[in-house]
Amino acid sequence: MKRRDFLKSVVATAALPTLACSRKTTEQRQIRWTGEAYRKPKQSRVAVLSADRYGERLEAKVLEGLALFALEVKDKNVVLKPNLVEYDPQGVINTHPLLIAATVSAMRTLGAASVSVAEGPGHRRDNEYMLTASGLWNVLRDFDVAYVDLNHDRTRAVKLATHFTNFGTLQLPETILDADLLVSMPKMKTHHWAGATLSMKNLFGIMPGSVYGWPKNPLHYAGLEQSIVDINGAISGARFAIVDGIVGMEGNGPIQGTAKNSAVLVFGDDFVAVDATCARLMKLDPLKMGYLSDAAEFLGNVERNAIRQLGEDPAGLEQDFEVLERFKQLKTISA
Amino acid sequence: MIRDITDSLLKDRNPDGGWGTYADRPTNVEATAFALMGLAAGLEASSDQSPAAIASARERLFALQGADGSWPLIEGQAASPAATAVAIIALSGFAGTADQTLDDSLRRAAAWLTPQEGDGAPWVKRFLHKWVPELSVVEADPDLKGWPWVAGTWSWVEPTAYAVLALKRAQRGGYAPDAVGARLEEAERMLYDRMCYGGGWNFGNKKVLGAELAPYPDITALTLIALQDHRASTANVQSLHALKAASDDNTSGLVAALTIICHSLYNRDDSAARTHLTGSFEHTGFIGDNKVRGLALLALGDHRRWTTVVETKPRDRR
Repeated sequence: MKRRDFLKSVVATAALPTLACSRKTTEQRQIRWTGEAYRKPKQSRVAVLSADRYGERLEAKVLEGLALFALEVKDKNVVLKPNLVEYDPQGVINTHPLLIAATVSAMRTLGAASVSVAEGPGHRRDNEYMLTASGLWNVLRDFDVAYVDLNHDRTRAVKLATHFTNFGTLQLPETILDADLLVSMPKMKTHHWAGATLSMKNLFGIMPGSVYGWPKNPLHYAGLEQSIVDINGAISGARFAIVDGIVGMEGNGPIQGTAKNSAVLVFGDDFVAVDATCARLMKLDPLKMGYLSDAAEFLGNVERNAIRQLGEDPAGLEQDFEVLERFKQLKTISA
Repeated sequence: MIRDITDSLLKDRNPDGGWGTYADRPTNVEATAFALMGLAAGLEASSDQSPAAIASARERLFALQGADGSWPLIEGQAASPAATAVAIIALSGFAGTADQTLDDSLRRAAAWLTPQEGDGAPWVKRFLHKWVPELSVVEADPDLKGWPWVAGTWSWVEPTAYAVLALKRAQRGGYAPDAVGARLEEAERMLYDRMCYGGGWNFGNKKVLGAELAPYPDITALTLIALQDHRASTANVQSLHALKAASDDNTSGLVAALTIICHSLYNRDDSAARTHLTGSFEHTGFIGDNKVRGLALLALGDHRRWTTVVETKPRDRR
C-alpha cells in the first residue's frame, strides 16, 4: 500500500504531551511521532528576497533577510551547514561560497561568538578536494573560519520522538547538537529521489559517514523521505534556513541537472515552511512531496495560509523548474 | 615535507596510541592504520619518536580488534568490513616475523572478512536487470556482491577495493581461509561491473536514471591497486587513462598519494602526482587529515611492503 493511501488519524490537541500521530494501514497502526516531537507553530514566517548575482552586496542581502526575523545571534555559536556535494565549477551544485562568506560576515556583524562551517559529504570522501574545488577553502582561509568534517565528528546517540524509520536512535554529530544556532544553507535544487532538496533534505549531510557510510546507505534503506523527517525531528535546537536560490538546479538534480537562474534568497526559521515556499517558487506542489506532507503534521507549516510572507511578494519571483518524468505530478499545484 | 608530515602526525596522535581522522577526534581504525603504515614506511627523515609510535599504533589496533576478528571504524561501533580490511593491510606489512599475536590477528581478521558481503537486491531489481535493464534505476548487476560500508546494505566500490587488497595480502601471507578464492573472484567481477564508462571508478554507481556518472580519481587509484594482478587487462589500462584525466583536475593529497602508489605498481611515471602531493601539503596541509598524512608518507616510502599482491596470470575481463 502506498503511503499516500494511509489514513491520517489521531490526536487531540497540539499542546498535549501525549500527542501522537499515526497512520492506519489495513493491518496495523504505527505511531510515527509523539508529542515531544511537535514543533509546529500556529503561523510561520518566510522571507523571499530577490538577488540576481553572487556579488559584493550579498552580505547586505543576508543582513536584510536576518533583520526581518530579528534573529538573535549575539554571543551565539553559529554553525552553517551548506550543501557541498560534488565538483562544481559552474556553481550549480553546491551552496555558493560567496553566499557562505556573506553569511559568515553577517553573523559576525550581528555579534556571533563563533561561526563555523560544517558538512559531511555523502559521496566524496576527499574533503580537501571538495573544499578546494568548490571554492569554499578560500572562504575558510580568508575569513578564518573553522570547518568541521561531520563525517568524522564525535557523535552522540539521540533517541527519536519520531518513527518514520525504524532507527529509534540516530548518531548525530556533536557540532550540530551543541550549536546555539544551526543554519541550513541548501541550494535550491530538484532531486531525483525526493522531488526537491531544500533546507530539510540538506540535513542529510549532517549524518556522519563514519557511522552511516558513503553514501549514507542505511538512511536510503530506511526510506529517503522517512529519514529526512526523522533527522529533522531529531534536531531540537534553534535553527534557521538561508536557501541559495540565486542559481538553482532543475531537471536531474541534485548533481546532474542544469542551472536555473531563479534569483532569490529564501529565509526562515521553520524549515517546513521555508521548503514549502521554495517548492512554490519552483512551481512544485509541496503537499505532494512526501517528506513535506509528513513534516506538516508536526514539524512546520506547508499551507499557504499558515505562512506569513515577509520580504518581497514571492508570486513575482516564481520560476518553472523542470523535473524528471517521475516527478511530473509535483507540477500540478493544489495548495 | 616528510619531516613536517611526520611531526604533524605525531603531534595529533591520541593518548591511546591511535589517530582520529583529525586532531582531537576519537581513534579511527582507518586513520590509525594509514598513520602506522606511513610512519613505518622507512623514510629517512622520520622522527626519532616514530618507532615508539609504530609500536603503540600496532598495539592499539590489536586492542580494537573484536573477538570475532573484525574491527569497528571507531571503538564502540559495529564491525566494519572497510576498517577490518584496512587493518589487515596495515598489519600485513609486519607479517613474516614469527609474531604469534600478529599472525593470529591476521588469520582471525581474514576469516571474518571473507564471508562478509553486501545486501542482495530484491527480486524486482534482479528481474529488471536481467530482462528489462533499461528500466533499472541503477545500472549494476545485483547478483554480484562485494563489501558494504555498513552491514546489511549495498556493496560499494571503496570497501570492496579495500577488502580485495586485504584478502589478497592475507592470501599471500597464508592467513586467508580456503573460501577466499571464490570470494575474490566474485568481488573482482563486481568491481569490473561497476566500472564507469570509459574506465575508472566512483563510489559505486556508473549509471543512475540513464545518466552516466564520472569516475573519482581516489577511488580509481585505490581500485587499480586492488586489481594490480590484472594490470594488462583492457579495463585496467582504460582505467589508468581515466585516472590520469581525473587526477589532472584533482590535485588533493589523497588523490596524489594514491596515484603515486598506483603508478608505481603499474610502472608508470608518477612525477605529476608527486608535484601535486607537495603542492597540496603546501596549500592546505592536507586539511589536517591524518589518514592522508599517513598515506602520503606511505606513498613516498616503501609502500610495496603493504601494497603488492601475488601475481596471477593476466586476464582480460572485459
